[in-house]
Amino acid sequence: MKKKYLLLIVVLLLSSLVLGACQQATEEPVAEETEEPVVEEPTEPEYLWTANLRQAIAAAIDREVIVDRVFEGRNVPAYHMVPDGYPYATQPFFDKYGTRDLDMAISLLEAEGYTADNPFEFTLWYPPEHYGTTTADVMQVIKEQLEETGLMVVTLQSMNWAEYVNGFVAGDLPFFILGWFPDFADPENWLSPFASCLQSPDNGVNYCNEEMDSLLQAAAASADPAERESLYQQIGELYAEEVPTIPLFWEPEFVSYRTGVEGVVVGAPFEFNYRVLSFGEDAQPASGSTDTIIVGTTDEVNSLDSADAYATHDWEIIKNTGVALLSYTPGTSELVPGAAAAMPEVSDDGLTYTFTLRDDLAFADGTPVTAQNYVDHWNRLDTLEGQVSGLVQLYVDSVEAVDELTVAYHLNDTFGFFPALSATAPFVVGNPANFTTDEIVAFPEAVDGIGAYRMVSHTPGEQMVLEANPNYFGEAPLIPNVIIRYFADPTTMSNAVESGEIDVAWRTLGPVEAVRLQEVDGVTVDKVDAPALRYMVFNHTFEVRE
Amino acid sequence: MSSSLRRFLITRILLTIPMVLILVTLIFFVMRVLPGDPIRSQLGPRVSEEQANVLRERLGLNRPLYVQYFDFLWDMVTLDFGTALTQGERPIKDELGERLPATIELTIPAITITALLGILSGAFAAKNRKKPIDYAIRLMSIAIYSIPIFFMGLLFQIVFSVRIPILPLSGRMDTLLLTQFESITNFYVIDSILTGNWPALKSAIGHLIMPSITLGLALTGVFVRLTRVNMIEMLQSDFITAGRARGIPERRLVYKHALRNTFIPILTLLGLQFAILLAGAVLTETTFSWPGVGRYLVDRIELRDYTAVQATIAVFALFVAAISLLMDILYAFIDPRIRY
Repeated sequence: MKKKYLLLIVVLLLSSLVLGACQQATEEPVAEETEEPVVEEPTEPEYLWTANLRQAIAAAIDREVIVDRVFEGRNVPAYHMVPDGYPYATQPFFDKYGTRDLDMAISLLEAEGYTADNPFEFTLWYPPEHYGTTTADVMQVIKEQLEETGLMVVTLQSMNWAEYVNGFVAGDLPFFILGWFPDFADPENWLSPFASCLQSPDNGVNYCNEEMDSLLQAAAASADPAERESLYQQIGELYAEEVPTIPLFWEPEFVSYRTGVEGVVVGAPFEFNYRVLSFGEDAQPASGSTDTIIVGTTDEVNSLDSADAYATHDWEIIKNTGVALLSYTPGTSELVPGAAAAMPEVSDDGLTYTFTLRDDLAFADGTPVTAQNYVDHWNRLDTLEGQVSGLVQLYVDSVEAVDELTVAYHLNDTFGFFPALSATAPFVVGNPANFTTDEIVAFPEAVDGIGAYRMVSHTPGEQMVLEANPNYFGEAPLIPNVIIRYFADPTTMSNAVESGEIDVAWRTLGPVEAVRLQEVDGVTVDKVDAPALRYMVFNHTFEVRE
Repeated sequence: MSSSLRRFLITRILLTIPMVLILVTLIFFVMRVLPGDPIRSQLGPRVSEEQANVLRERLGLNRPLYVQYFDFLWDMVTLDFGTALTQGERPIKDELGERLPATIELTIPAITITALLGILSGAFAAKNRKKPIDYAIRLMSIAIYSIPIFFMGLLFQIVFSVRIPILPLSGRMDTLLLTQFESITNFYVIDSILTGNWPALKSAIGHLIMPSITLGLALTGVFVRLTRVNMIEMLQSDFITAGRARGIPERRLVYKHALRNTFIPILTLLGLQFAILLAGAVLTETTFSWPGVGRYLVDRIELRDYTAVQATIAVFALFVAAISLLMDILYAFIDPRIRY
């Protein structure tokens, strides 16, 4: 028995030793950080990426080949950061470099003094899994294409996502791949995050050019479509010239549904409206009743609080249980009034957007919605500092209830794209009965919003139940009940749609399962053009290292 | 309870405290040494550094490390566990309260299948040593052991759900039944009995069949081999020969006397496997979209959700300690010679 007591004491001693050692180890760097003196950099740093090198790489990449070799033609080559089908989209990279211009790449590299014996050597970074397992193949093709110039030697390196994000935000990666999914459907959201002095450091681009900045600001400020078109044309040309980043391709999504399911339309702003789904005569609903449709997804719920949520699936639920001030006609990118009765009025200085609310707006529990609800919603978003707060705070300064049904948004600056922003999930008003003032309610018991559906129950990781909202101002949804089934992986989800356990398999089915399901009887697979971009980033402030 | 057993139990329980402490301390620091943080892992570059700092501040990640550590220890002591840092920042108690029962509900039938199938066929093989059936069982056990668990799961799904639809494909209960289901303990089988909801019970059991057989079968191989080897040794021992000489029927000799004496190593492995299964059933959970704690832990490690990972591992540690304690007590019942 004595031995055991002795062992106990030894273990306790050991544990305190480990504790002490770990604390010391983790405290030391903190101490170093505070004591480190600030050293003034005496000389101007020499940056790695010259305009010639960036253009040479842009010219050497052949997107068509990447799309064919890696994706068997499923993906769409991207010749601009703004996707086709969206306002003011152009193809400046195609105009300047064609599909590929190897000669141009070679002469630019030679102009920089590189030869076959003295090639330009650099490292290209990628995350191995975050954007799917095809990323490594894409990187390999790019490496081959660049090395075909005979004047470049590319080393490929990968890093897990968590480390990768920290690496590029800290500026440690010279050249790397990233993905982008827009917050709102306006060119501003595909350009400023990479090319404006203010926002580009967030994506590791660290690009700053006065001309580009003033053009972007002018385009963002303007509310005149003709003026914006001309400005975005100029921005596109400058973008291809300056190459802050290189757009590669658009990655489509796939949606699969059983015979008889109708109304599966996902429009340009990537909105899936459950209210237009219906069952045809030959349908065999998974639930056994045409009153209920079951939709599968591999996404997870992060937050259903519109003052916090910042993920694609969360926004989808928020927009089906709520309506933003403006919204899109299902299946199109046409911006139309949503909770607002008409398009907003813009003040002469462009700083205030005034929305008149519909007079028949009510939450699903019957409580009428007034302008004050929008003010309270903004106050929650502004004070609770949820994940999405920053997106809105960047543009909105304050919100004011002008009268019972009129709400005015005072902006920080003139933003011509504000209507597109006001169609996003943070502009879906939350019911105070579900979302208390003083804290974020990511997983509410119910969501009684103003949308076509109300959320009545949610079992995390398993399913969510939506019911038609009796107080919805628009036409009642064609199928009154929607059940969202959560799957852990696309293979199980595709088996589920094949076996009739679910009616629709939505995000993220993935190309492998989509191709397989195309051969299955009784199941239809649609390719959905998603605004999901993959692009290469130059870290413009990466210094030349020996 | 004898005083020696009591003393043994107290010592073991006391020893659990430093064990859990060392483990959670290690996890606490290892998680923070790992590159990445919860904000960036979840939102990537979508938030600026300034906004990321606001979020870090709100989540308390900017506090000195020792403050975070002692807060965490206090949360452990009070069994509160705090709130998660990602995916809705829910109380970890709620998240584990949903997921742990799902995993335990899957693990218990799986380990039962493993034990019954593994031990009985192992014993049977030992009894028929060097006969064709022995070779067949050994071959099967190696084959099952070497098939990847997710592959076996997918195979079952395709055969029994897609081609011959007799079993549900995934999840814990039929979608429609679940919409009406009242969950009290989150053990769906128990809940449906408590509420007298028989269709739900049928569905819950139906949904358990494929995942638990998959998980159970995958582990069977080890038990077959372990039982067989120990039994062969046992069947050659003097007391069996003596039993045979006294005319005790062979079946009774094998399945009662010999098997009981091989239980010590088997029980040890069974206890260990049960503990491993809690976190290690992640592949089965993924294949069958089973919302268990294994998947939860993997997801949260990827998201660098420090508090969720720490709490989950602490709970595992307690489970492992409890199970090994239980095993030690069981030894005494199985083998009366063992005294504490």
